[in-house]
Amino acid sequence: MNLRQVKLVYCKELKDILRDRRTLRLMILVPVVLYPLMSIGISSLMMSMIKKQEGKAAPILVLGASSELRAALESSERKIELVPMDVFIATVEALDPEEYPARIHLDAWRADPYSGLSDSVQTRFYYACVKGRAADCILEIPPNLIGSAEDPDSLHARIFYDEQEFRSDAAESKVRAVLRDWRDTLSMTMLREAGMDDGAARRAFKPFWISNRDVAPAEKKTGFMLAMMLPYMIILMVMLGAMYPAIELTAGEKERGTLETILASPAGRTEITLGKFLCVFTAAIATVILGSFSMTFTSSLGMFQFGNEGSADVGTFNLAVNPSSLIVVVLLMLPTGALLSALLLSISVMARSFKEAQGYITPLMFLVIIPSMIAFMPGIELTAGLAWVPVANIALGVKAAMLTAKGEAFPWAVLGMVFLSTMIYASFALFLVRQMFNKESVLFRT
Amino acid sequence: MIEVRALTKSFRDKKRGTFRAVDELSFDCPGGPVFGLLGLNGAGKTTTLRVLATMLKPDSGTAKLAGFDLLDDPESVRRKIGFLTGNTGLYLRLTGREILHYFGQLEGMTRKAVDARITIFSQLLDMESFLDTRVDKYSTGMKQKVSIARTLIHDPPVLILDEPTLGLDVVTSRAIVEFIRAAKTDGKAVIFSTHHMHEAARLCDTIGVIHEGRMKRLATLADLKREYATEDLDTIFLRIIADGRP
Repeated sequence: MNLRQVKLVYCKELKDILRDRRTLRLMILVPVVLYPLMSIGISSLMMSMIKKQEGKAAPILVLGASSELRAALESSERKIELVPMDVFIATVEALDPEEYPARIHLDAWRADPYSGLSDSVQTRFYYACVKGRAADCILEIPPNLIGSAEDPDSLHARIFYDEQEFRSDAAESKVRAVLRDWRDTLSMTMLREAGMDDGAARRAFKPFWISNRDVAPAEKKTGFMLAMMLPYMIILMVMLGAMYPAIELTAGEKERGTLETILASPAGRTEITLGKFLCVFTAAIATVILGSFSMTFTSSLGMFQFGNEGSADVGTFNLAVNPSSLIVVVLLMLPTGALLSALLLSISVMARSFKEAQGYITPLMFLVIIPSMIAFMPGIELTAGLAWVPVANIALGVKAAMLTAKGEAFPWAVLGMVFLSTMIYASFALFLVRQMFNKESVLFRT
Repeated sequence: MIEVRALTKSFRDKKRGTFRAVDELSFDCPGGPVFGLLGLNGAGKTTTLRVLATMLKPDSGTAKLAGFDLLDDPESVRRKIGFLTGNTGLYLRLTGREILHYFGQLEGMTRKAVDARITIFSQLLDMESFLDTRVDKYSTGMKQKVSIARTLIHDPPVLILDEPTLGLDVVTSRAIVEFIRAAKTDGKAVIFSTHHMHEAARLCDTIGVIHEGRMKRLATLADLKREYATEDLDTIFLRIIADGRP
């Protein structure tokens, strides 16, 4: 093999693709700018929507509540606005019957809001009311709720809301929180009325609190989050980074007629194949590295919004990663980049034009991205058998590496198998590309 | 400098099944005279030239170019040839100078040697003003000049030109014709295929008329004119294709 020729082909191809705006867009702009921007944009949008909804008074229809509960709802800090019955009815009446057919049940509901409608009809009717903005949710308090001798398990205050509607979901949370507080106050009052003093009533009402603490190391917590996303992101970025250079250096050359020129030069087919492969591989790895840096930078700025509502770490993402895990991920990235680069080259070299190559590559995108999603599935771990399943093994390998906390031993045996199997597949794919570059029916396809 | 012996190349396609694009083709093209390969579309001209340039492997037969057998030593053959088609085959995002460096170095030349050759071509073909501009900004004429320089950068003794003037305007075609003349003067072996009979008549010493993959007639231009009693190569060509009789 003539290494000088390999180097010449590699350097020329690299220079060529670095001057291609289309390639640069996918290689740099998408992972470095677009992904973080989208993440920031989406999380900022969600945060602002939540804040906006929290600051806005939620219109609620309350049925059968006592004046105390009404007062509790109205005076709540959570901003609730009680919709008068006549306003509610007028709004429902004004709804377009074609768009809201369930509106025809208004009269039956009006006659008896508690049991005037069957369960299924009531569901449809309230869905129309929420959708038609008569109220964001409906709170139904049965007349016998308080002071009844019935079994408390059969007594329900019911909230009707539409979980898919953001404003309705937020209104439900507000109402539920006020109801919970009110129920607690009621319980305390009942205990006091039964003759308990304040302290005894509090002890009887809530004898103890339950608290928990997640003892997982910080890098494991972060690792879990990254373990789900990272394999998918890496494989997607490798594909994005390698796709256009692979097409450009094969089908693109055919389309522009430059392939003949290089084939008539003293450069051997092996040297041409290797030079092109190394260039595509470089683009793939560069895209992953740039994308990872960009994501890490964005995360460290606390711009990703993770965590549950109410938890202390809302709005921050503590990027604690085991450095050894990152080294393992980088090691796994190399055969992944090699395998996907060679696969993309072997497919795009068969095409006669850039457009045709894009058509060939689309199914490959699915074939590669779907197994990479295995990391999202709970309970599936890397085994010796799965270590030989292409792409899925990388996804699970990255997941396993990210879930290994500092001081813990890596599952080297299976990770080694993943590396080895992917290297074997990559070598085979590269051999395939080399064979393609020797096949006249492929190179001179008309 | 070019010796072709019983060269055969077959292809398969859905319409025709297996067919011989080049069928037992034999001819010589010593250094000096320019060999014109004439034929209708699909006659096998491009396949012949691609086999000679080692892009395609013959099914049987072989050829020697500048002393190297294309089956035994294809790399040496490629070092001895300059290949040019009407499609300039240039990388649009590189400059003319970068392209010349790339191909010169692939030929095994040092950077210094390539620079020296670029200086010569730059003056000869008047390329100084655009050599450092990206090819996608070039006119067709500029591209063709860089292509000519690319073909000659390593000073090959054999030139294989596949319809080099196809689709070019008169001015650019003229540059190619001048280039072939200069190569002839330098004693290079030139084999070129063309559709333009007037070009062949102006440049070629030897004519090979290829039809359905076979060499229908091989003779010097002077002999053909005498035999068919006409100066018009169009007429000669059509008669050869029709029945071969004068």
